[in-house]
Amino acid sequence: MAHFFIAEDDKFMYRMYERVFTLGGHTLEVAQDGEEALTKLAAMNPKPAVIVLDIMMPKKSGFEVLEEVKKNPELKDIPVMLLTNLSGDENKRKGLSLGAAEYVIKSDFDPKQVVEKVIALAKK
Amino acid sequence: MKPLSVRSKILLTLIASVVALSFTVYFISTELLLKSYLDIEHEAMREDLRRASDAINEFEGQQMIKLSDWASWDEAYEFAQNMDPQWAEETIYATGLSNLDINAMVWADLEGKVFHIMVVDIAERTEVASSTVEAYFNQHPELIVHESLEDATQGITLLPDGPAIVVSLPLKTSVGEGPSTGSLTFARYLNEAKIKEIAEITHLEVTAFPYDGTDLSTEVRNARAQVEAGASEVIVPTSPYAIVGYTTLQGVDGEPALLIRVETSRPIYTQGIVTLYVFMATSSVALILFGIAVVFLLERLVITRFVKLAKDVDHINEVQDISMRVRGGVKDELGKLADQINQMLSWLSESREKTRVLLEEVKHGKDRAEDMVKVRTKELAEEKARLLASINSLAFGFVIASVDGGILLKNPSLSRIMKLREEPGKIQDIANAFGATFDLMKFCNESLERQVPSEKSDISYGNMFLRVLCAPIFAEADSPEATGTVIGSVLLIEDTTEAKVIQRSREEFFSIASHELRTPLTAIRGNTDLLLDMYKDKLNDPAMRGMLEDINASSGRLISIVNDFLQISRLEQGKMEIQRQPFDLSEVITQVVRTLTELASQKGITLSFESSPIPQVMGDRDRTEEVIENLIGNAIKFTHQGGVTVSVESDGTRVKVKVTDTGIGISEQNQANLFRKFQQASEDLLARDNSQSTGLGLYISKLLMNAMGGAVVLEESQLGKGSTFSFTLPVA
Repeated sequence: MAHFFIAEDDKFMYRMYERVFTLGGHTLEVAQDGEEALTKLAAMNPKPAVIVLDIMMPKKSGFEVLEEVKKNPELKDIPVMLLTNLSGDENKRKGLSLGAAEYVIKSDFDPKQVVEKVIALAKK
Repeated sequence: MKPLSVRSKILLTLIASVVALSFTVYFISTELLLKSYLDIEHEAMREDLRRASDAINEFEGQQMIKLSDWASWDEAYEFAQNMDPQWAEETIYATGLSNLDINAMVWADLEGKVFHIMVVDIAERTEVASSTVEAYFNQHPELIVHESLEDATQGITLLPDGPAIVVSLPLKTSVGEGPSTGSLTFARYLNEAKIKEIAEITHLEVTAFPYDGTDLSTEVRNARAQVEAGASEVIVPTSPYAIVGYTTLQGVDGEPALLIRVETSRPIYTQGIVTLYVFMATSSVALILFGIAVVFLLERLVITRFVKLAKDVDHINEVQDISMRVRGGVKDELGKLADQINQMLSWLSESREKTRVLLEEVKHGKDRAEDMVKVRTKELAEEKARLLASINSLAFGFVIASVDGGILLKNPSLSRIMKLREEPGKIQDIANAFGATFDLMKFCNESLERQVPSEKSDISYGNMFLRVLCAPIFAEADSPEATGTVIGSVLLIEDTTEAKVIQRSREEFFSIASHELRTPLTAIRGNTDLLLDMYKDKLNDPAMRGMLEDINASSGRLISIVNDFLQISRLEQGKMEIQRQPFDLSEVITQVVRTLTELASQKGITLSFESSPIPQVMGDRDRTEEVIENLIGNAIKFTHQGGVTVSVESDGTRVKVKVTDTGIGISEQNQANLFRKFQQASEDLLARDNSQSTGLGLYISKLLMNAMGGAVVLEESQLGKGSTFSFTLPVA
């Protein structure tokens, strides 16, 4: 039983992740764009065990949100997973260099595997 | 002035030699031969003079003998005492004196006083006056006074009438006893006649002169002067035929009293002269004959042949025919010289022939070269025109610059691309257009210094992107090994804005495509996954469950296709980051084989790895794993019985991994298309097996291996028998 946060603009995606996290007995706070993600993260109490960020989102990209998170003393120690379909070595390198703990391509894993990865990250 | 011929020079030299020799002979003869003759002549003259003197002395002696008879006569002895005039008259008379050959008989007493005297003219045999003679003797008592009985006077005295021989003895008894009663003196004038008489004895022409004579001839005076200067005799040739000699005779008083002159002919001298002339004549004739002989021999042996040789050479020069030859004759030095000239002529002929042949070749070559040059010049002109047209039509800016940066050639595209308002004259002008964004000068100078071309892309220029290339131009090197000197540079400026835009849009497309395609696909597959997994209890209808599984598999395959496209795109663009690190290939193979063993066993075929020790390889571990997965996966896919074997081998520099199957095999026709995009080894496009993969696997494997410095190949394949694929990687 853990509390997680995901920023994901695609409703089919976040709904799927909501389902799988709920089915696993976890709670998932969802934000549908970058700004909302930052607002919700700031407001959340307690803070999530892992922050999962999509990259291509309206208003603020996942990279920008990640930068903000890493600047925020309350959030900077929470592991961040970039969960995206944006492939490419340069994007992965950029995300990891900004402080992401993991860079996961959505299509490479089924939802249950994603949950397992998030939980594994929370346990680190 | 025309130079003398060799012949004239030799002749002149010979004549000069003969003349010089003649003079030498003449001088030697005169100096040695004639002088010796003169010496002999002088010696003979001295002998004559001595003989003349001796004759006079001899005459003195005769006078003395006559006198001594008289002086030791008792009657004479007594006469000095009694002075008996009768005795005197009977005994002493002119004829008697003439017979005695004396001019004066002088009787003197012991005091030297003349008490009786008779002077005669011998020729006339008469008495002449005696007063002057008497007076002379009275004045010269030393002549007629004798200290002892042995005392005597004998010598020449200059009597008033001329030089005379005077002998005087003391009067004594016939037995030679004294005391003396006085003295008796005889005098005999040495007049011309007497001298002549004496000379006749000696066969000499003798003359005498009183030493202190006053009316003497110049010759005699000269001789006297020489005598006074100390000469004992004076010898003077008066003519080539006569010579005179002078000597003095001393008087009783020890002073020179008489000059004796002897004149003789000169037979010795004449003989000398004759000998000299004969010698000279003989020598001259001999010398002239010698000269003639030498000239003759030289003429015959050398000059004629030399002149002939010179003429021959001259003639050859004149007609300029080097095929002619000179005549040498005997093989002495001249003959050899002629031979050598002939030899040289032969060489000259040969070399002229060679030169002629060479010249013809050269001319021929020159003609050909000129033709070639014309053709080449035309070709070059055309080539240049084409080149300039090409350069001018180039879409990118083209500049050829000198080493110091001056622009030698540029095309219109340069100004168009760079939007230059003024035509640039130097590289610096172009560099100025770039401004601070790009240091063109530094870029080009570095290229020239390092002597390698430099290229820089994506240079921002206004709202454009430019690609700049700077390359040094080398002078053609002297040898293939040497690098030439840099003589300038080429500058290319390309407008890559459009390409950049295209590239960007393609990148954006792929980025979007990957995201936008995969996201809904992920939702489809994720949800079907959830349904099949979490809600399997509620999926009681097998048909519905089957449909869901199909949706899940199809969406999964679609995701794979998109992923393959993305990977190919990245590989083709070089965007894929490939590691180059050593890793253990056997371990990777083992892992993949372990993963795929289940798949193989599901199909009822075997999968084995025949491991053997291999070195570590250099490459990207994950990408290699991908390739191995693809090759083994394909092998399993196309094998329906038998199995798949993986083996490794190494030659020390590369490691080869072979994947061999006993599958369906690939036809030769399809082998050619194996590694192409979308080409699976099926018979045709419509009939291809698209149920299991995109057919991009081998193509991706090939790209990956190429990027790692390795290679994927089909080793062999036979339809129905199976295939062997392999890839190689370099040893770490």
